[in-house]
Amino acid sequence: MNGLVLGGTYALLGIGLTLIFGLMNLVNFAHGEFYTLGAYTTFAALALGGVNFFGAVAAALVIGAAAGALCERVLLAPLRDESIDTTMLVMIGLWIALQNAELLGWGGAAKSIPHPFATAPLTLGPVGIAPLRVFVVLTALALIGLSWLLIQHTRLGRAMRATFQDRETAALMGVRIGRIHTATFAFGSALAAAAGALLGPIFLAYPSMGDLASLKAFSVVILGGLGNLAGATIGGVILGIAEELGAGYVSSGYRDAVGFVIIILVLLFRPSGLFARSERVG
Amino acid sequence: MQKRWLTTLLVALAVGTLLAPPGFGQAPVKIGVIEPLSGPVAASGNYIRMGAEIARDWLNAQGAINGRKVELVIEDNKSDPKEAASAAEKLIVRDKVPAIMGAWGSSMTLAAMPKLEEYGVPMVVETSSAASITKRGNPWIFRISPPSEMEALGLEQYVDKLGARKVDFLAVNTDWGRGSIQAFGDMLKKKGVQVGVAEFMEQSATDMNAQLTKIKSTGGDTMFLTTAVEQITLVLKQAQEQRLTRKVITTGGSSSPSQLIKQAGAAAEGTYHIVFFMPWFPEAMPDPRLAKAFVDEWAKRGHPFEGLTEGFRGHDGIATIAEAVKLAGKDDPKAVRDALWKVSLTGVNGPIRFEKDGPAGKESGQSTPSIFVVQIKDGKVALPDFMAKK
Amino acid sequence: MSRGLGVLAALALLTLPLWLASPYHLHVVIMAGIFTILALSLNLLLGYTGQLSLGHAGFFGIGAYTSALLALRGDRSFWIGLASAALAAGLAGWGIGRLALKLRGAYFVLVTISFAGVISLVSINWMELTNGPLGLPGVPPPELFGVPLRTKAAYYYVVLLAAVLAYLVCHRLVHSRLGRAFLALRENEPLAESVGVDPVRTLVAAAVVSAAMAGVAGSLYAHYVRFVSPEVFLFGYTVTMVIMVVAGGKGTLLGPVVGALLFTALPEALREAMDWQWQMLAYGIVLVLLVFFLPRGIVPAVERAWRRPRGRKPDGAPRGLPREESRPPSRRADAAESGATLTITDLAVEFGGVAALAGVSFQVRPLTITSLIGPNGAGKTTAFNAITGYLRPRRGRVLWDDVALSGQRPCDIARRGLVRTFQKTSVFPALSVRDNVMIGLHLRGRGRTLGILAGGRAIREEEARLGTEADVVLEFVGLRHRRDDVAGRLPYGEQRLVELAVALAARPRLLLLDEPGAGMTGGEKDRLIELIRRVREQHVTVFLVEHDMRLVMGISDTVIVLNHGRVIAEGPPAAIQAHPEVIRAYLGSAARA
Repeated sequence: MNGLVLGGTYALLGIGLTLIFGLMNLVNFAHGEFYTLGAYTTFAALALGGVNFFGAVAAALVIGAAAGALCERVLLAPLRDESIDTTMLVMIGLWIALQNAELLGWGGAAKSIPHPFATAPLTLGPVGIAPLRVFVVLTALALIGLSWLLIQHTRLGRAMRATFQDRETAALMGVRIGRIHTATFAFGSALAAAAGALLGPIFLAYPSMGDLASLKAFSVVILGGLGNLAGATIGGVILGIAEELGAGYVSSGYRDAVGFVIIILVLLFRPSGLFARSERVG
Repeated sequence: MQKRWLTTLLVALAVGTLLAPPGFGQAPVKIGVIEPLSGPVAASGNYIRMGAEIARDWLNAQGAINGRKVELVIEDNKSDPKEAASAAEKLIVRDKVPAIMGAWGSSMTLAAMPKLEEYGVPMVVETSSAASITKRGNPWIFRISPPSEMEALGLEQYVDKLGARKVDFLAVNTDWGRGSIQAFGDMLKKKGVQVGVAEFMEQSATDMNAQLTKIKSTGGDTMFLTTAVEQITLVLKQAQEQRLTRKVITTGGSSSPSQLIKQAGAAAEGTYHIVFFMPWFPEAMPDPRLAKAFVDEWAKRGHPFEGLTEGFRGHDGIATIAEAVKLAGKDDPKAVRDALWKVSLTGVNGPIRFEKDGPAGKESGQSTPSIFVVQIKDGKVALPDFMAKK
Repeated sequence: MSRGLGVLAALALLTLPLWLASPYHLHVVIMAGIFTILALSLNLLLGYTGQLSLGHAGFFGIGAYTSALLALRGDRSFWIGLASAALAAGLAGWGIGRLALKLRGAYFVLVTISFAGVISLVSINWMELTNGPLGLPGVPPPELFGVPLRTKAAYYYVVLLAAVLAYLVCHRLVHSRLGRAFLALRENEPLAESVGVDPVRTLVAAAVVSAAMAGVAGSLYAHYVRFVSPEVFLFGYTVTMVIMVVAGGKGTLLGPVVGALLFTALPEALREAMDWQWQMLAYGIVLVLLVFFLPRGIVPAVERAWRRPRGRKPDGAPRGLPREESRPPSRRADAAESGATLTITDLAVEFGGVAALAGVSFQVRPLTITSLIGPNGAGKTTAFNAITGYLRPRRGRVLWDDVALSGQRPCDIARRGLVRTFQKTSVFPALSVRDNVMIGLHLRGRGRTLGILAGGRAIREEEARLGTEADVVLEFVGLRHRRDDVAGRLPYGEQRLVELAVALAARPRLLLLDEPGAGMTGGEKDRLIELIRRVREQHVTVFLVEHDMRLVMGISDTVIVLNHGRVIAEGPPAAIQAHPEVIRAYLGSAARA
């Protein structure tokens, strides 16, 4: 059950990253920083802005999108023709700078984000689960569903898919690649921020929280296959559950290794991700 | 042009010398500080820095060291041993500090230690708990924090009163967590307490449900918890969700019960915490006046209350070094090292006096800090019944 | 000029401890030296093969632990530790390479991250061996003839020596057939395979050398800091290496060196310049700005600025028309050996259930010029792909005399003398025309990794020989005057000639040309026809796919016509031109188009 909660947020992180990775060919090291941003926005909106919890989560989503769009326009758009390593390096720089700016702004002490749910667990048969966790899973699922709708059934989504499949052709068909990139990055960042806003209250908000999130998101992307939305969703859930079970059966010291080992196994036996269709070669 | 600039400078210097209070003309005594100021444990490192700054300001307000101002040269070790070594090198060579306080984690301290030996500069270790630090035969090391064994010994007298019969451990997978399990495990076994499982969590882990499930299955009555306050918060919350009903005792002194009350709420109720400073009851500390003053000064500066259980170490470390410089009468590293053996003062934590530890001939200094146990009761920090009766 | 500068630099490096008064600065220089080795090692993979390893801290850490454990538990000397560190890390590199380099790209990145993660967890949890998170303090300093090298100056020379050696290793590799194979795989993998570059083997070699170098750096680190803990596996170290390589200029020899010096000095300079709370923030910002203004890295930017005003001309080769009398690349005029027959039996390929080739059988007889024609989508390129190993056919057999080619990889097939070109222009775009041809000569050299690293006369002589052969090939296709130009910037027709030169350099026994004339002007096509004829005179069988009927009918001995994945006609040009079914196929397709 807890695996599902983790999995849901891993999936949110993974979807954002897989879109950015797949569509923009960008290794986004700063992805986790948008997750952190989401958590801190929620905290700020609650503690300083006096907004209620749901409003704060929504605010995190909006700010995440805005920050993502800004970052894409300012940092990435001018470097679009550069190699993948160059843009990766910019994102590394952004990651370091943002994390330390957060440290400067918020201090290193972890912030606890208050939430309106009861702390007493709900009982579902033998397992107890906190209402907050139920809320997190449901919201995560809703957001994943929304993303799905957006990608599959809107003009923007179609343009995104077209760009992913064949950038040149899409450009010839009148898709404005620049806009699509901005939108994709903003969208991915918003999902990361949402994950941060959701997990923030369960865990805590602190400047280096994004590092772990980035790592998990990368794992999810590989599990699911590059640019594969459904794959990222299922990959996220699998990773979450595998970590829970893994820690139960293996020594807990090796818990994080479970994810790594899964990745290596998947790459060995299903190199294009667990859920990729076989592609035409040649 | 250049001449005029030079004249201005000279005049400024002259005026400055005239106006400055006595002692200002002399070069300040520099003290190096190496702490993790960025990265995952930045909060703790910064609290210690704040405490060190209070010690500095107090010293300077009280006539400094033999009339010489105290200046802190603060370096960030970024929780990376390589950086700790680089920072030590820089402090010693560039800033020529006669002594250093640092370097928080045991890995950082161990990495900086060869530099101390190379250049012959003493370091007061304020946080690190690994036993090996004072056992390595590095005569430049003076530790004021308790190694885990000492902490375990400090708890020994209360074990019966805590009523622990079968304990499990959950600790962060670092030198600190590992060392703590070892030390407390040994002590408890000696006392005839049954020891169940020892579970670990990575420093950055946020979800400990799996470990808690395992602990739940052992049927013990007490859980020893060793990690930073953030993870303690998460463990307590998740234990509550899992309805794990155990006596919880946190070790290491960094649990900051106030923060737990704020962040874990009801989940922290009833838990015990080993601390080295009780800012809630300054009157119960060995030097109540100093403790009270420190708590007040901390509040005056707007530092968060929950940082006090860490911040005092910064104060005590700097106070120790300053005392040694005073005794030495000069800021020469070797003289300061020799004087550290003679230091006898009462810090916020309590008496600080170094005893020899490690191989004969090149012993390190180890002080015996005071150790306290507090309990969270009704959303407040209280002395546990067995201590209050004293 | 550059020689004088080099001597000066060498002098400066050798005397550094004498005039660098502060041991702190020497400390920074030593750390920079260790990171130079790391950056060079990562650059070998990232810069030359184009494979990004984000697990380099893993190799570094393995080196550090191996060396430290041997010194502490095994009581071995530093030198044995150093060698073992290289060995252990190299072995890990080999394992990871075998595991992940079949996949490459993003997958390689993730396997390397995972590898470093697992290794790091092992170092934390395997208490008995590594002492877990408590680390291994007290690693002794190295000894030389029983004298411990305790001083910084002494250690500086050890690190300097290692860094210079690492640089030489990179230099030798990069300027060898192996290094060219690295670049070939980075630039154009299918083309590299077509001339016999074995991708997995080559990349594994790169991974092993790179990992071993990182292991050496780890050992140097362990004996310098004299404390090893699981933090050596920190992802941050890998990130630092990536920063050094990319910011310095990946794929250049000097780039990582400059990057390592700069990014070791920068945090220390920031320490001096500002309070701790601003340092890391400033570091991040400097990095972003640097990438922003010098996206390709420092060294390439400096090189460009240096070159522009001087406008260096390529060597004194005469510009203008190639000499027609030039001799083509000599094949062993051993007709018996060259005269192999390619026999295709019942070859079938499907794409998602649609048959691209529905059981095709034909022969290409030795020393003929045979053309494969047919309307668009007839399956011509598919047939080429299936013959040369780029596609796995669903059924059918490909025989080269009596050797079965089915199931073999492209590079193995190239080794047997079947070399192909590609329908879309396919060169190694960032490399010079001559380097393109040198890659084509891959199978003509025999230098192996260790031999190349050792240097020696045999390797140098082979390089000289390959260089001469490359010039002969260039002369033959008439590109001598383009020798030093960047292939990707040539006009289209000349790029096609480069392709042909690359293929010819591999000395094919059967040359498979996929639409060699596409996009060429009339004059260029005439030259092409002439070239193909002269190739055949050198005992090379030519098999080509082509649309231009004038070209096909002009040179072919035999023409095979494909339509809808089947052979509909086969025979001499005159017969084909009159074949009713062929006419129908072409008219039909024209009518539909």
